[in-house]
Amino acid sequence: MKYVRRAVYLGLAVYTLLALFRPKKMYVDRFMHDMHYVEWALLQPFPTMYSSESILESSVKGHDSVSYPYHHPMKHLVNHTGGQPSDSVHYKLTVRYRGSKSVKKYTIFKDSLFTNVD
Amino acid sequence: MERILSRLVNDPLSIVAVLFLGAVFVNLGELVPGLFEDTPVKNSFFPRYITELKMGFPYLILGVLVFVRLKLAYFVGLVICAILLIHPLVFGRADLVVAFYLFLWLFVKDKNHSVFLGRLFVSFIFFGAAMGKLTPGWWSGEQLQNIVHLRKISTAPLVIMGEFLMAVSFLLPSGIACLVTIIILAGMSWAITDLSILMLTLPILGMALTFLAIDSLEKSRLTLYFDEDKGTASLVYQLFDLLKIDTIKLETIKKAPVTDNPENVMSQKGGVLQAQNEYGTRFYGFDCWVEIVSRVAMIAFLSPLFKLKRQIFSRK
Repeated sequence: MKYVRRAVYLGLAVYTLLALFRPKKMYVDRFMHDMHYVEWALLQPFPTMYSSESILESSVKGHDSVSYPYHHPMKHLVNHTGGQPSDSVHYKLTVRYRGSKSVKKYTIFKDSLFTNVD
Repeated sequence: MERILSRLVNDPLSIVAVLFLGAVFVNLGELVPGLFEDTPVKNSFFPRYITELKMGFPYLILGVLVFVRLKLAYFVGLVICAILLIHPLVFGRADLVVAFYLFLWLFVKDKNHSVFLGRLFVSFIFFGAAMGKLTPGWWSGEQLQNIVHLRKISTAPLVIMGEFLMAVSFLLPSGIACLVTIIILAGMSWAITDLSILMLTLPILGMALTFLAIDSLEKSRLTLYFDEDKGTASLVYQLFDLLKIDTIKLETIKKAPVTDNPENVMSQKGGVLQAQNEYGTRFYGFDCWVEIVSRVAMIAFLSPLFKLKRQIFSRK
């Protein structure tokens, strides 16, 4: 158990260093799922869920675009259930953190999420 | 039933367990139905072996596992929390991050309870939250507008300063750290008008009170002398007899050591509690309660308050 405890202290130190020196990874890439799932999973215990500045913009063919701020917009896309229109819905997701900014486009069509579809 | 009650009262971890169970209860209406019914949108990011896991029952089991005093139970709880954190239906929830660190603390703590490590976890949770908010959007208050059910009086610098204070709270003395935690959590709970904030604040409050209870718990034995003819004293006797506090022995007042101090005799006549610790120090009236509270694990976090009151009155 002594070694487990040491590993925990080491883990906290690694997360702290990442938060201080790799903020783009912790606050932008992670929120955009811009990494492999395993790497993303390892970053999930870091407690910054409400800290990135995120805007999600959606549009349906023939309708005006609507934008709304979200703490975790990817979660909104993945958990988007029910009430699907017959047309595909296009999303533009922007996540900002200090000097870093990422923009990605997604489409939800027939209960499936597609990345970078124009 | 009596045995369960006695075990609960004699264990400081019961505080955090009860408050965590409260958080699970609050989640019954919000998180749990989705865990049973919803399916995420098909996507290429989440592997199927995670997506297909149904996490409704495992989440509910957390509320039970937190009461079980076994490393294996805490490990199972930790694994459930870890899966919930990376599950497409529930990832990105701060209350699950808190649950993860709670079970991690329960799992890695030793017999001395590793209070420091637990306090470090609480500080770390707020460190992450505060670090993320060091952006122009948060400082200007623009991002606060995105939080639903937030009272307008909340200002961004106040929120960030509060989180930073919590982030360094592990460096403060345990009593002050607990007080700071209670004030900040009360502020958070008040600032957000939605009850769902309790899912986050209750377990953290439970951890803070547990750390203080562990630090304040008196391990020396105390003998309590009751006047069995007095109604109230008799009731208190029955209660303590039921709870079976490890470090409190019960006796009738007839067995109390004889003293010629007139003040103490007055106390005896008034039917007030008397007590004596294993070093021979005698306690009367309110001082008895100070000693009792510091020995009942589940309410030992109140001990600093009782001691403070005793100090204030003794000065007068």
